[in-house]
Amino acid sequence: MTPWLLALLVLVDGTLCGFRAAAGRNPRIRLRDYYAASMRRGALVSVLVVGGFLGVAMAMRNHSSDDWSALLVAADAMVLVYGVFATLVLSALALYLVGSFDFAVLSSVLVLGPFTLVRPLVIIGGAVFAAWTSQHLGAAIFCLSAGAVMVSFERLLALGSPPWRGLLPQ
Amino acid sequence: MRADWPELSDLLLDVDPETLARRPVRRAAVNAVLEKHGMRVGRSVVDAIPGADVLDPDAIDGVLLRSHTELQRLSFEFQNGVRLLQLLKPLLNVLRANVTERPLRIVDIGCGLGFVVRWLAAYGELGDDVELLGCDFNPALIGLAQKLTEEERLRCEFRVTNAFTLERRAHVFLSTGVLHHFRGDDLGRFFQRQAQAGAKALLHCDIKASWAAPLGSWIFHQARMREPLARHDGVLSAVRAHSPEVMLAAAKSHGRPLVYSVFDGAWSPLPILRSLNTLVGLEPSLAEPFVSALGKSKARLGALS
Repeated sequence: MTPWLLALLVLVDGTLCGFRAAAGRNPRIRLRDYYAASMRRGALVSVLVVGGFLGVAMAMRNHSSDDWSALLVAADAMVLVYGVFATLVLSALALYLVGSFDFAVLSSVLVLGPFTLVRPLVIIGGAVFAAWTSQHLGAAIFCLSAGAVMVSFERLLALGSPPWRGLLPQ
Repeated sequence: MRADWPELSDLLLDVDPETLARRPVRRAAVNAVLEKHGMRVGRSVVDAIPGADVLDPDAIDGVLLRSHTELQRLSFEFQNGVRLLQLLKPLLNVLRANVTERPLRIVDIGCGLGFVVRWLAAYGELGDDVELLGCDFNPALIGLAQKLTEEERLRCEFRVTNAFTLERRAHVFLSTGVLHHFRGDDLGRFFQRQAQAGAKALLHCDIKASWAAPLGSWIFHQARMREPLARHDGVLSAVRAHSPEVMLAAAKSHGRPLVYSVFDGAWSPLPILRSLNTLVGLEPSLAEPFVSALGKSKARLGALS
């Protein structure tokens, strides 16, 4: 169950990274389709990332049951840290999208903006916590690698070719 | 950062206010200003702009266009269009009842990329009797705003022009994030010229000065912006923001016969709840109907005087 929860968290984070990678790069007013495409791109790339790490995890499982157990312990730790963070972010996002004007601004000021700023620290912190909790070199490398990929995820997505390029000088 | 520091965007664009001709920006002159104020971060932003003696105007335009596009993202997030509509819709209803001339002309001063005007055109549902015009001195920003307007088929217009010398007067002057660019006598002149231009009403939205504004601005500009100039000027804008008292004093002493107040200008121990405020100016005869038209929101507007 825990690995799937972790995969779901990566998918959600990747989708939101897709939004942020595209935000502030297109000066049009009607941006629904633009953001939908960017979020799809983020989700797709995150599925590929999950697939890649799942492949490595399966290889470790086949290699040794100790490796797999350590990975599960690390996954528990990661889900604990990232799950709390994601719950707060998604709650604020829900408030932003369906709440009144004042609640929307408040959720942005209190959660969405500051949490974007600390996201890399939370990812690194969660990965280090999981690595330390696992007490296993292979699992620790796995966790830190996954953290490094997620920290650089938004920047990687921004390297794509969004449609704003024709409108703004590089 | 200090309130008397100039914003980089103001240093990098030099336009003759009469002829609207763009004047070359000399690196040495900009650096001298930065040196005088000890603006080291600002210096690194300027150093990155190509050009030996004169800063490359195309590179400056690129920086400003990207910065304004990022700023537009913040405008979306903070729902600046919706925020303005809270005041603009009641105001237009009052103008319809008290002004016979049509169309009602709304002019955005220093509109930049024209987010507010284009958003109002796309989503404002202001009615067919309303005309939207955005004015700015920067041809690159106005050029892109007009191009986007045509591409998205919006009913609004943009011009590189002085908003106070239009061939047909504006009924309403708007601005967003413009007031803090003016200080001292310049702020007074800003209100004087609007009053002379004969507007019926003014709505000037800007960052609300508070202890939290610079910190909040820093968080959002670090989290949301990529352009170093946008990050620099965004935080400095919050430092430079005028208190309601300063805005009102300048408006009342130079901008008569209009009467003034500030919407969301009341002091709050938790200023994050209201991060922007709006200076409202009205012809005296419109004051009472406007306050009535605000409905429940009238508690957020101080007394017009």
